[in-house]
Amino acid sequence: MPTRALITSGGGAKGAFTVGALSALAERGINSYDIISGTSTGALLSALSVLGKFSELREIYLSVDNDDILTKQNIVSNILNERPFIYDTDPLLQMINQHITDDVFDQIMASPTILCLTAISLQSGKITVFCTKDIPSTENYSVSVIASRQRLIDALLASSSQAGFLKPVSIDTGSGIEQFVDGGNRDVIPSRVVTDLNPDEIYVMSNNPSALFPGDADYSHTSVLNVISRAISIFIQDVRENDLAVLEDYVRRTNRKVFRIEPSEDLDPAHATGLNFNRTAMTVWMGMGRSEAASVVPNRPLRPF
Amino acid sequence: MSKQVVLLFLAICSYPGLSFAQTTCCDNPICRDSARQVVTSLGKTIDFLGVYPSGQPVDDERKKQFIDSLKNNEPARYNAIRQAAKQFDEWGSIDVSRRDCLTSQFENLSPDQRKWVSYFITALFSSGFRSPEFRKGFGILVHTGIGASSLFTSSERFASLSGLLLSYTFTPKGQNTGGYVRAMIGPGLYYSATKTYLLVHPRFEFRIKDLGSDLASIGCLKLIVQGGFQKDIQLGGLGIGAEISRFHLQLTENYLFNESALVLQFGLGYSLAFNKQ
Repeated sequence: MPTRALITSGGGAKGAFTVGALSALAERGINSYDIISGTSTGALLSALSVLGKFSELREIYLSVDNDDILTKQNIVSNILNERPFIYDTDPLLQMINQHITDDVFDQIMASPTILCLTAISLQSGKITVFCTKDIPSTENYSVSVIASRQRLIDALLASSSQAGFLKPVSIDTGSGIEQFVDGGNRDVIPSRVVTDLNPDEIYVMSNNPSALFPGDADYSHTSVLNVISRAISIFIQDVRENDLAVLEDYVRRTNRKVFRIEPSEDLDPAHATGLNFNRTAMTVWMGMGRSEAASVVPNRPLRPF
Repeated sequence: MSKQVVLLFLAICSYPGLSFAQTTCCDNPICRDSARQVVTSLGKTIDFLGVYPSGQPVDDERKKQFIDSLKNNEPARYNAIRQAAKQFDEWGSIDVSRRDCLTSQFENLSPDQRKWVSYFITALFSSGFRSPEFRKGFGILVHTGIGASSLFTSSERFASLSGLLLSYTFTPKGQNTGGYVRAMIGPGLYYSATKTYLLVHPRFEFRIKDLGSDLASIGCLKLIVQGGFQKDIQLGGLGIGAEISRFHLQLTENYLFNESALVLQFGLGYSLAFNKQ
């Protein structure tokens, strides 16, 4: 039986694009995966994707607003109180707890799908992949096995905690407590763990286009936030290109199939990290994800193919 | 038998966990047609823009310029887009199932139409965050102000007003932050012309504007209404204040009823909240 992998990238609210694409694939019979690797918003949605809960995912991504995910903070209070973040993630944690129940956790663990969530340790600076199955660590990443519901919840939150913006997550991986942040710092499209498992075909869901959108005409007289936002976009683009290079190399070496589903234009350039959970915009992005997936994979047969 | 089947069907449909899956808008031909109409109408209004150029201005400033130029040069077309976008937003706002159905209708648009729709929707609709200022609950404010009464007149005198106030901040229902009103009361000290008066010192603060950016808040501006009362002296005042984390700056103008004099004061304050800041 050929193995099928899914890679879901970061992008905050733009994850609605991936949810739309996954739904379109499911409607074409592609509704289960042997390996799922997710980062950031891609990690959040990958957990329910293991169980094929695409309808629930659509409901979540079409009903949340900024305040359902994050709480804006007074930055002066946070600096004075040594709280190293701009937004509090308590609402997001509540939402994860609400959807990852004991029953859902048991189903995920009982599923044959290998679920991997990427986060970065602030202490080592290295990639840690939290997986539901015991797979080998490599020189590129270390693997930490998810053995409890709490660890899954911590890993989901850690993978989506954009450093500086959101609260780092403390996790004891066995060698002491470390703080973890968004896997997108090194792996926006978490490809390595997937290619190391040699799947026959890979579906890559990216919420950003392959090319960097053009910048402003002049950055000499603009706000510091504008420059930081642009720098983040350039940084993310560099990480993305490295991740895609891993996939291109995999295709070259193995001649396996890789389907890339991504928007051709940046969905929300004004919010480089995707922290703009607007329901109307997310409805459009989900619609675009559906259409894009339908055009990339128009008439896929059911398994076995 | 058929009655039993209908009852079973109704029971399944009314089960809360199945409400989204079982009664979707797209399962209803009328609702689905409406969704398609809403999406295609939006697509038609932007059709005149043609091919979506690669590298279309996406930064806020140039996007605004592009939309402003459309607004000025093609007002009818701009208004049609705006109206269709509003219809898209309002029609979908009824329930999640409707929005879900809208997403499935995008395949009826051309790739260029989809890009233009995304371009305009992100320009016209954006979500902010709830203000982190004026957190709900009890707190204590210590403040002191100095100034003068009857400023620039022969009877000008130094005057100060201090207070130690118990406060309660009200927030909209279901919210812990983003309140607009704070009520306070406590003992106050008014000093003028070598005399010190112990007062009952009530005060109300109204948040009028947050300071900071979309990304982060540093504090807020507020309107202050306060009073001070005892048998020998009564004052009432208005002022403005800035609140940055726990630190407060304030400029108040108080009226001494017994002397018919105005007292202008500049003050500082520090507050402690009893719940998480």
